[in-house]
Amino acid sequence: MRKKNQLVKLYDDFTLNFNTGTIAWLLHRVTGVLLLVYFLMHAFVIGSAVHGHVNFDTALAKVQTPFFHILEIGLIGVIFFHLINGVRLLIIDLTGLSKAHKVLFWIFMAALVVFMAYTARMILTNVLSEAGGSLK
Amino acid sequence: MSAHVKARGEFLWFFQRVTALLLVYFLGMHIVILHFIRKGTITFASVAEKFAANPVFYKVFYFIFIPALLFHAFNGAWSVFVDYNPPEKARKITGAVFWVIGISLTVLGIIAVNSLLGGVK
Repeated sequence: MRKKNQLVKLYDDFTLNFNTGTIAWLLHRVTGVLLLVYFLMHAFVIGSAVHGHVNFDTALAKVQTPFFHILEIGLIGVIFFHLINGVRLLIIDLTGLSKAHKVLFWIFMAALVVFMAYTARMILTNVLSEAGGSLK
Repeated sequence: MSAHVKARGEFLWFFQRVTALLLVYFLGMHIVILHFIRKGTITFASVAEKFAANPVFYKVFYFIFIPALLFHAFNGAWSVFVDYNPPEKARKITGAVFWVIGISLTVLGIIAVNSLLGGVK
């Protein structure tokens, strides 16, 4: 029964009193877990440095293909959401601006969109120039 | 304040905020250096060369960044876990396992940074 109740709680957390904060809360949690999973893979790749430069270069070459560079856009998006929403939480927790939390959320999401457009353009430009092409 | 938040302690809550603030700077810099101003493929030699230009800066940088990130990641994961109301014993075991993994990965990270710093000598 306990397990079922917890699943109901997960659903209820999201649907009861649904508002802007609910979306922010869920996305912060999901991006946090994704970042932990990414970090474990990152530690595995970078940790190969302890076995010397040959192992490190082999491991790094595998994750520096155009495919992985394009995935980096998603990675930076996940990091930036968690970061900017975290800053919003710090502002809410540590200053008197908690009443502005919804406005802050949408201002920060607009900043995220602008930042991600810039990031995507830069990474795609790098990937294309390395492949001998150009965005223009 | 609900019971599990009290049991978790104000220190963990506060330190999650302190590390968050540190990570805004450290993770931000890390991404700018490795993703935005990257030129060509990253290799052991290219990282070693970058580190050699400012060895003290990079040493201090990663020696603060790595433990701060690991604390933030595993303390965050633990509080997500505790939020689903697991039994007391499961909380304690998970907490202990997270500390062991976190400290081990901090040591691994510091050794990796040191071998990259040593790669230029």
